[in-house]
Amino acid sequence: MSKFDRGVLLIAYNNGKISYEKLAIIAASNVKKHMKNNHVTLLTDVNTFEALERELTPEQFAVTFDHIIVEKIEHERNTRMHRDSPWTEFSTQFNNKNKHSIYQKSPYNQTLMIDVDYIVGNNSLDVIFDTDYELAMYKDAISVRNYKPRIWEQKLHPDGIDMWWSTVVYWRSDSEVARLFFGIWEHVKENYQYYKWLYKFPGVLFRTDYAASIAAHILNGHSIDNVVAELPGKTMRFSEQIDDIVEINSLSDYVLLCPDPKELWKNICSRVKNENIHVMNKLAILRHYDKIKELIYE
Amino acid sequence: MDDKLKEALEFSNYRLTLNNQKLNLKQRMNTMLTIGYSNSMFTATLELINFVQHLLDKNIEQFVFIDDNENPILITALADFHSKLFSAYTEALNEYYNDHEKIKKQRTTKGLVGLNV
Repeated sequence: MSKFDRGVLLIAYNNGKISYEKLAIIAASNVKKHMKNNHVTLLTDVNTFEALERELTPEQFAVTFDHIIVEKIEHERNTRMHRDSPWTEFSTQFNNKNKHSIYQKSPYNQTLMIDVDYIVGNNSLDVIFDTDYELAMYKDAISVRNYKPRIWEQKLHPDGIDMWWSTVVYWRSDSEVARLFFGIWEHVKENYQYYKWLYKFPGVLFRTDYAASIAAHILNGHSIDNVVAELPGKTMRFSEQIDDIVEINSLSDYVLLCPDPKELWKNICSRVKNENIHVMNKLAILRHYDKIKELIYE
Repeated sequence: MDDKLKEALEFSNYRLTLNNQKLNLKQRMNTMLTIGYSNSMFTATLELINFVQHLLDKNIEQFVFIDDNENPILITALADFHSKLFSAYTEALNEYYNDHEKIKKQRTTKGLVGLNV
């Protein structure tokens, strides 16, 4: 297959509890609305693709996605606890174990992979396509309440290496560094218990952020260097799993209810306009799906 | 609850929300300050804009700058570079100013975040 030049890659695999096909529709439409480099490819499986076909008319489908890759895939078991506000928890299958394979599967010479819970609200990421950087991600993040992430999302261990977010990853397909990076990511996945012991990070869930961070650390010569560039703006905005969305005024104007992570009963509202936000509470987005869909296709 | 305490707590929440909204505007401004130039990324800061202007005033034609990812980059079109930095800075500051003026006039927590409930 000959490659497209530049574009955005999304991944969506339904898991029975979260409708990833709907999140993909929202993510793709935001890319289309706000970015110049807005050729969108969706990497998905058969079940999710069928759900997508049920959800959109052929006309809506055509304006939302430019290219679809449907795989027959057996997902490896990876159970994740989610929170939906401070008061609700649920566990579900998290299909992220083949994320490293985006390097081989991307149809682009220059790929920007974004998670489907990353809401693009401006064109700042377009800048990365005009650089000669080979590989880029976010290392720093700040919440919509303007708090730093928890220590385990800043570093793999309080005395350990920096954590890089795998929420948004940019790479060039002709880059040797990118090829090595995704290869190490896969290697870390296959030897996760060993690397967990070596880097002293907690939890049983396979975290792609950790695998990507270790890959970056190894490629930097087990030191601190800039083999992975930081994405435009250098800081990723995110909203916590305990946050909820109160109001959506437009596709890039969100009002969120944000409890204080240390004192959950203390809430403030935060309005975020024209920003890209990693909304970790996926169900909060889906509660507003009908309104968002109306805004997209009005 | 005592009326005075209720009023004070409401004001406290208003100030907290106001502060958060100001920080949100600053974050948005910072996002707008990044420009792509000469296959690299630069943040439009007052220091960089003024330094490039200084080089232009001295009729220097090219110069090496450190980009946002610590790479040395030779810039050969300094006037164009300055113009792009200046325009990104102006646009970001103008938006910041306009939005800041809007929230400054809001006297309620709901007003600060544009809620009509």
